Amino acid sequence: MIRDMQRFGQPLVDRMNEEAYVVPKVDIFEDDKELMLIADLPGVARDDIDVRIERNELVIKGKVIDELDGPILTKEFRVRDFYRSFAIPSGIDSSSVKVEVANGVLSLRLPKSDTLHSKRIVVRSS
Amino acid sequence: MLSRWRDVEGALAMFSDFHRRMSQLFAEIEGVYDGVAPPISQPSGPPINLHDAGETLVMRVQVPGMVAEDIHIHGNQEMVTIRGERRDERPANFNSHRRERGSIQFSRSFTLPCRVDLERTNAMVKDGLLTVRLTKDTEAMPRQIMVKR
Repeated sequence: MIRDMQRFGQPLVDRMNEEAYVVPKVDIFEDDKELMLIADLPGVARDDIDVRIERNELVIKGKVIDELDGPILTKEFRVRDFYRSFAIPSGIDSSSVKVEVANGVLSLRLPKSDTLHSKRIVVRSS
Repeated sequence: MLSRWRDVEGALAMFSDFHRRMSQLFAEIEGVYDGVAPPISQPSGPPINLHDAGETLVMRVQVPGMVAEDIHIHGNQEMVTIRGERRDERPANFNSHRRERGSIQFSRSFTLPCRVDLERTNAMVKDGLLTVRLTKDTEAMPRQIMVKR
């Protein structure tokens, strides 16, 4: 029984280590017309970035190539693919999202469709 | 009566997905706190990985959004100091929902595990990752040790 559990556990740990992703840091901004999302993906080339919007979920993936420089002496960051997903409001027009990549930084501009534009609510006094 | 659990693959897939979702969740929670993700136990400055590549030491530094002009490196044979700055490109007239990236302005000094030859050092930044290759001093080069019979 214990041996069975050990056999079960080790592949689980290996799998968790293999599949673990790094969560990239983001800034999120908003104005009347659009949402802006900026993500740090250091070391990821433009072609290795994957951005998808499906239903109300935005998924960002960045593929990281391990350079295999040799035995590691100091390790402060993990060399793993980046992955992060966000729930986005339904008024986003996903067909006109603008994407820019420069120096390991991904910038997304998500225009809001007309329904989401904020409208001023007039306060009247009675 | 206990029966042997056969669907190990399915269970593993479920756990790794669960693990990923939990990591995401914790990252999200950290992000909400103060609007800035608190550094867990990080030194002030960008993260650095240092490798021993035989004849060289290879240093990799995460500097997203920075280009060569933003980074300054100087050092002596035992220590390297890296200074850099990235401007905060917050767009005007936008409200912030989340700020995790911060504006990077740093100066980090790093003691090297062996002496290096600064004349044979090069540094390159690409896609927000700085790579510094420092050739070891001749005395520090790896050497073969002969075993006598």
